[in-house]
Amino acid sequence: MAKQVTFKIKRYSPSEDKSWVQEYTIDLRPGMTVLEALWNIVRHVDGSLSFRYSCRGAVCGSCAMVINQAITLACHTQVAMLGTDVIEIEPLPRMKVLKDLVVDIEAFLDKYKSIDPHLKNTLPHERELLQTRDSRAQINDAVKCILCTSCHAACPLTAVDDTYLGPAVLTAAQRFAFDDRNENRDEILKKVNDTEGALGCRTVSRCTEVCPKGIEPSIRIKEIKAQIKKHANEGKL
Amino acid sequence: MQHDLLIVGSGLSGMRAAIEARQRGVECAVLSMVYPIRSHSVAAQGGINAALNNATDKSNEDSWEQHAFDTVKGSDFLADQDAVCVLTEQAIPRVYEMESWGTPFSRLASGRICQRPFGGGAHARTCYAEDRTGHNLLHTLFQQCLALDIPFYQEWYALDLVIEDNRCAGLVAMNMLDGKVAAIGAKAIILAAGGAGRVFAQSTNALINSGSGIAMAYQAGIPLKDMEFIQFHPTTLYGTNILITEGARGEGGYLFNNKGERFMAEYAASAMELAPRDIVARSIVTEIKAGRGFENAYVHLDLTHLGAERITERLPGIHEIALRFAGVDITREPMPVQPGQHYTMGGIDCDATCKTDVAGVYACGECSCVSVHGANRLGGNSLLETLVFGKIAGDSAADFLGTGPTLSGQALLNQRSKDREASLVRRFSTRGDVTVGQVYDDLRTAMFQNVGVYREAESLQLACDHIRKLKRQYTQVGLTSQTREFNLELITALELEGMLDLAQTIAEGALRRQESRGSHARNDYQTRDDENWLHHTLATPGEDGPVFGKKDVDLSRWEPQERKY
Repeated sequence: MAKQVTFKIKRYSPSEDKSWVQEYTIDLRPGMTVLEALWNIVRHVDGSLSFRYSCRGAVCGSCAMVINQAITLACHTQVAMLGTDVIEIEPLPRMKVLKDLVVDIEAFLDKYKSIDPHLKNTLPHERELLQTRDSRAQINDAVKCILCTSCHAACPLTAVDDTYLGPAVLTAAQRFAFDDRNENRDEILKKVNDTEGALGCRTVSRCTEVCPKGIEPSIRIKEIKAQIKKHANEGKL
Repeated sequence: MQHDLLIVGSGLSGMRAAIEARQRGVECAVLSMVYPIRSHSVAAQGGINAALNNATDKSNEDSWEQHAFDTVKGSDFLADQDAVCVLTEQAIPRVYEMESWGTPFSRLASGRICQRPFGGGAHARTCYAEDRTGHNLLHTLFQQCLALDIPFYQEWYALDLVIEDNRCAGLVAMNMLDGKVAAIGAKAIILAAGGAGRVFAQSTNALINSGSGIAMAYQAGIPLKDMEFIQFHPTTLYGTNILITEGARGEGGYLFNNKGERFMAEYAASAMELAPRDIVARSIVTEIKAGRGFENAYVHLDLTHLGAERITERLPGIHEIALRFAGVDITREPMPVQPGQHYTMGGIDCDATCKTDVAGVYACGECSCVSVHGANRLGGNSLLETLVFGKIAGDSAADFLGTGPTLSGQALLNQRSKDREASLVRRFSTRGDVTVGQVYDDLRTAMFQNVGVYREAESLQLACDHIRKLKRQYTQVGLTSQTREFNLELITALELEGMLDLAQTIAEGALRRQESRGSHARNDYQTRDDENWLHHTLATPGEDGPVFGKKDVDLSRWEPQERKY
């Protein structure tokens, strides 16, 4: 007989404004991920359970949630590797829950938009802009960000200060402030040169602990701070 | 709610179309069942083809014409050659444009964009960003869309394309968060909703790739083209079928059977591991069937000889995937791979300007069939198609809107919205013994087993009969849930209805086509038959399943020849 596991899932119904913990026991399949287990519940046990999903390969950033007290992606977490027969699942903390494990990311995206995260280049693009490997390496980590909001939810500062941009948005700021092709590098630095931005970071580094892509947002924020200081010394800011 | 232009799908092709339309001054919005950055384009790994000549020398120059020929040969001569020339000529400005918009490509020592060899290509022309090319391109377009303030309907599911008097009227869609149905009037609609990979078990595709946009067009009466041509990617990770990029072989990876032989020498002596995908996939299946696989299920893809430094520099994503999902460190040991469904070559019938037969309705990206991939797509050409034809679709819609069409068919649109609401109510009150999950799993397994890499009349007939049975069963499927809010069981049920229709066009189309061409390999008709089958298949919905027709292939540039590598 297949081994069974029990999922204790924190649920929320917006129409009833009610939350509760629901238990589901399912058969464990070798290699089964938490995301597969959740789909198994929807397709065969209880179709009312809600969560986000898409790539199931840890690249789209949809399925960040809390699994046995740890913030991670459901799609790259194997049930058997958790080492418990009872698995507790909750939505990301400190974000408004819309339904069960689905949280509101609009406020997060508004912060992302607020730093104007795009590369500005007014040169004609008849060929590519040249970029050295060293220069590209400066943004190698930040461009890996999948905007899964794990770090945003984990950061103790975003929890207490609604105006703080948070680690993911500041990682995007690092990406555009250090890309030597971007004509808006200084503007981006100015946008995060306050306590709502990079100067607000207290380097608790919860972001770096939870990032599923190994980006180390706390280090990216340090790089921004150093750049701000350098620009200030040069009288550019 | 109404728009001049509504784009369904927020992957690369949808967002590229939106940018083009917006830059032309068109009022437009993008509707998608996911946030744009969750779209399946994000998962593309290996790269995008363009004859930039960054990695070639003077004695061995690449050209867009050579790229076009490779694409046509790769397609087993079923691609439309005039459209392929558009694809490969426009490749160059589209890649430079993405770079200028910020896409972080990998760089050569010269500072230019890196290019690597891919299957079926005469030169190293696949531009890449490590093995995260799709991710880097998608985030770039999302950022450009934000800068242009393009509005998105996020987590909205498209239900019905409404057409009156052969003109676009609009879309009936459901807000997934509250489950409410709405009518959105539109003078023009661009369908950019992705492929149908999930119709098959063992697919590399995202869970959202049910082909819902293709099915919606079909149900509205727009013909589908070449649906029997399904690409099986040779190397998907055993267990999860997550894609292992062709770039792994492009960087020099070897395929080994259980005897330690580089078996591709038997099947494509000169191209070896870099033969086109259909050929490599068939070779792997043949090896496994002959008992030369591992656990009767997979072969080995070995990169260890490349060295840890090159692997972590060029293929960091694959390194992470193999470690995380299979527990294999590819710098030290080979990884287990098997073919899996990967790409839908067929799709909504449209021409090289992305026009369908319906005024104001356009299609681009994987849901469309222009056709630039014919019977087999070359790796690196799908990202390219999204950008080239995304732009063209945006342009064509802008041209159409420039002629001053008025919003029409709104009474019908509102009626269809009410009909849809009634059908959802019925769906919730159906008390059947069969769950959505049972029919869903059953269909996907049957398709992979019987309409897979190798096909023959007997198994195809089995599949066709089985799909008809499942379609009857589907009418009795009940839901275990009653809530409308973010109801994934309901979404699966809606997707499944379309998947059953698409499966029918795929399986019946495959049964009809009595030849082997590209990805369509028949055990009972092993050769290509240009005399009888050098034409596109068209499928339109009839009273009792699809009605088939045909369409000419553009052969204006090259004569069909035998395809050898």
